[in-house]
Amino acid sequence: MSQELAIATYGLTKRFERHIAVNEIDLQVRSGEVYGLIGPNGAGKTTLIRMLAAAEEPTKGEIYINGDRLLRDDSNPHLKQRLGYLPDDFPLYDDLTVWDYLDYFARLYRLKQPHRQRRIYEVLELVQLGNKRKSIISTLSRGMKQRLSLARTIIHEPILLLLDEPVSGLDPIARMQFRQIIKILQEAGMTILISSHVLSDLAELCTSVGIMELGFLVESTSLAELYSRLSRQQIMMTTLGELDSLQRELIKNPLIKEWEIIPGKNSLKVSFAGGKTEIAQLLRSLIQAEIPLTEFHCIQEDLETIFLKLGHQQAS
Amino acid sequence: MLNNLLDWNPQFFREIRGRVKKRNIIIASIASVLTQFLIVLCHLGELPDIDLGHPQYSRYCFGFEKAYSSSYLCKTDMLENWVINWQLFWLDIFVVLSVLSIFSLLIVGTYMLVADLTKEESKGTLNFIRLTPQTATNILIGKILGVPIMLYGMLLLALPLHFTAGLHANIPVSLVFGFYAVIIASCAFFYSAAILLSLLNFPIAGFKPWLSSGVIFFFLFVMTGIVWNGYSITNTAFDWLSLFYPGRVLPYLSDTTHISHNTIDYFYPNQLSSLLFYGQSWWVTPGVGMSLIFGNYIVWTYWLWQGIERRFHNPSNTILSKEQSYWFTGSFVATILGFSLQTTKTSYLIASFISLQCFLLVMFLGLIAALSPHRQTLHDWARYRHQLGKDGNKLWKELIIGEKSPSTVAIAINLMIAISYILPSLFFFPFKDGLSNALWGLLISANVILLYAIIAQFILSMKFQKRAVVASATILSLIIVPFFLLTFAQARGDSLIAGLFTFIPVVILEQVQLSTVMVAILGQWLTIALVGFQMTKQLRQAGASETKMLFSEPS
Repeated sequence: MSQELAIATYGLTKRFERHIAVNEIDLQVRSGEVYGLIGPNGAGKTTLIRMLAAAEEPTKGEIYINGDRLLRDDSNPHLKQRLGYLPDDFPLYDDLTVWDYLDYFARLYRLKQPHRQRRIYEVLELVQLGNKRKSIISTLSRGMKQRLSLARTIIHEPILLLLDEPVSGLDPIARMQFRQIIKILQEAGMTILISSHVLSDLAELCTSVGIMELGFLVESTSLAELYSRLSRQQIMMTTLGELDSLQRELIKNPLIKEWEIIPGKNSLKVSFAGGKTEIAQLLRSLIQAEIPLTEFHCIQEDLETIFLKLGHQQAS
Repeated sequence: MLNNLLDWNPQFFREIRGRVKKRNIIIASIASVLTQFLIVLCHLGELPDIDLGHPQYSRYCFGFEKAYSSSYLCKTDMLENWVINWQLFWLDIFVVLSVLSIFSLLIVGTYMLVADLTKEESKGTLNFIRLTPQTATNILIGKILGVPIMLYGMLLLALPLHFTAGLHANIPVSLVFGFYAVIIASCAFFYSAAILLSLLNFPIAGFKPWLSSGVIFFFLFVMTGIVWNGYSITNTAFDWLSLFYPGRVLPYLSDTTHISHNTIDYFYPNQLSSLLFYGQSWWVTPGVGMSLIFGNYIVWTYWLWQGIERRFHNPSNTILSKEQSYWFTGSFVATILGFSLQTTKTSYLIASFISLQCFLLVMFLGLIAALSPHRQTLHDWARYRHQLGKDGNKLWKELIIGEKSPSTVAIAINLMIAISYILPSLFFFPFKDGLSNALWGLLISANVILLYAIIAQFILSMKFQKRAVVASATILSLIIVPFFLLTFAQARGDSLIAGLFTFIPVVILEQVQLSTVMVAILGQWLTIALVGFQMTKQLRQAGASETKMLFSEPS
């Protein structure tokens, strides 16, 4: 078994009654990756993550974390030391202060003094809750509670983080703060498996993605590979003149398949099949045709469009 | 030291941080001191009044004859001071504080533990603790030490008064410490039972704390009444049950004061000295007797922890593994048989045998609940058994020791263990003509228990809501209904065959013919076979692959 694989599952299956929530999944995530798990509701993402965190027992199949078999008993304390799991709901103890809560989990994960105190300060700084360390948890906002939960998840410096819908229900600023923290953790070398409704967040964070549907892992690849395979080259053009004259010029180019008029703006989103040289030639031809262009730049289809293109009806 | 303890047990640290608040400490301290003050005041009020003259009556006066109830006519010495039986005064305070401590520790402590764990389970915070590298033992010992911490604090404040009262009552210090050890062991046992209950799936989770503390209150209330009213040894398994009452050791302590039982008036001569275990009276001396009571708690606490450790890490596990259940049955039967059949009078023997069967039924009902996997586990086992089997798919091996297989075969093996242990003892005792009835009775009750087991497992494998409730209700009605039918049949002079479907058929075996017994046994076997066949069919269907299901569907 390759030591480079942070997660490896073989034939992982979970049934509820006769419904198969997760079906014979062979997932492989390399160390240091940020792996995004996407799929419609009920696709089995949460069940898969729960099994990877040993919070749910698989009906069948095996899970290996860094090459060690994960079992749901007390036989693998060293494995639990490597795992950090943040579920989509994040129950906390309302009667404790932020510091006591983290101190409690640091002790549960066997962190000794003075390392424990130093680590609590580190994570508090990371999640920007340093000034709230003496506050009672019940007085925190939802975003703060979410960040505190993340602090709890990473207090023991796990090498694998499992985050289930970590930004759901957060406002845009809180989401941005959360994204920044994840990036820092990624830079620190953690392997992160993250499921999210917000595909733009995943596109920004992930190095690989897996698409789940009806319990199957229908796609598991690097993000770069996914873009190169499924994303079309598009050029955004804006003109000061008539859109019709621009369109007349575009018809002449055989590499242009179709375009889309952007409503409210004098712009077109053009699907282009050529490479960089052909793009340069197109630009030259439009300038020679005296089209008053104010904008001409290449864009890629986003993850949501690719996801829909794969035949899925909803992003989450 | 406290720091070391907090470092050793993070859960204890969490409970201290969450509960030890200034306000709580003040309330607990005031409550404890006030209670002690009231108890002492009530006892002082019993003393003769200095200002009043003769005659006065008091429980604490020395006298030869009781004037009324438990009071004596008070006398004075030559200096006109009242002569007071201070030893009895302090003994009373010691006993009141002891009983109060037992009740508050076991009832309130159990309630707090069950409520806390149930809340953690329903909120989902317990899952996070499960995912840490801590062991179940470490976490739950932290809970036991930490959750009732304010209650412990209250009782620790009362400890000086309790200890002083014991010394003034002339109770040897070693026995006072022995009593504390028994109290601690009883807490370990009852708290472990409470934790195990908290980890079980229950239809109304909010009811769990009330149920557990209610059952313990009932037990303590009944046992206190029995011990206070001069419990006499029954030479049945009920004697074993009484050993779970920590107040059972109080008569040992009062005996050492050498105050007459007539003067104490609530403790009768300690009946424990006549308690027999396999014909030996082990409970004569306080040291050995208290050690055995302590040991009894330890043994059963050990078994409770076997279940706790399995359920804590994986709530879908059965409470005991099949292998553990064989050892559990062995130790249970060996214990209760030791307390039963300790007489040579045939009529008492039959009564003792019936009580033995009652205890066996309760144990097996518990074992059925502890060993029977639920529908999902059974279906997964049926579906993936061939792929998951570590033992080369040997069905018999899986049914005997497998984790997820149906429980019926394991229950049958447990029944065989129980019968093979009890059977030889029936020949040693003078049952006289009752021997064949006892033997038939043992066989029929084993059949009936196996029937309960297979029906319970069958219901648990079916598809509807609240299977556990329906299974419990069905088994309960299977236990009760034959008794009703028997009562009606006896009143109307009909056939008493219904009695052969109770778990204590020995009560009517004398009144039925052998042919009726054989018909009943055949009927029981046939029912077991039919339910077994139906369950196998259902499991085969559940175990069919999706493709097989697809092809077998009518087009």
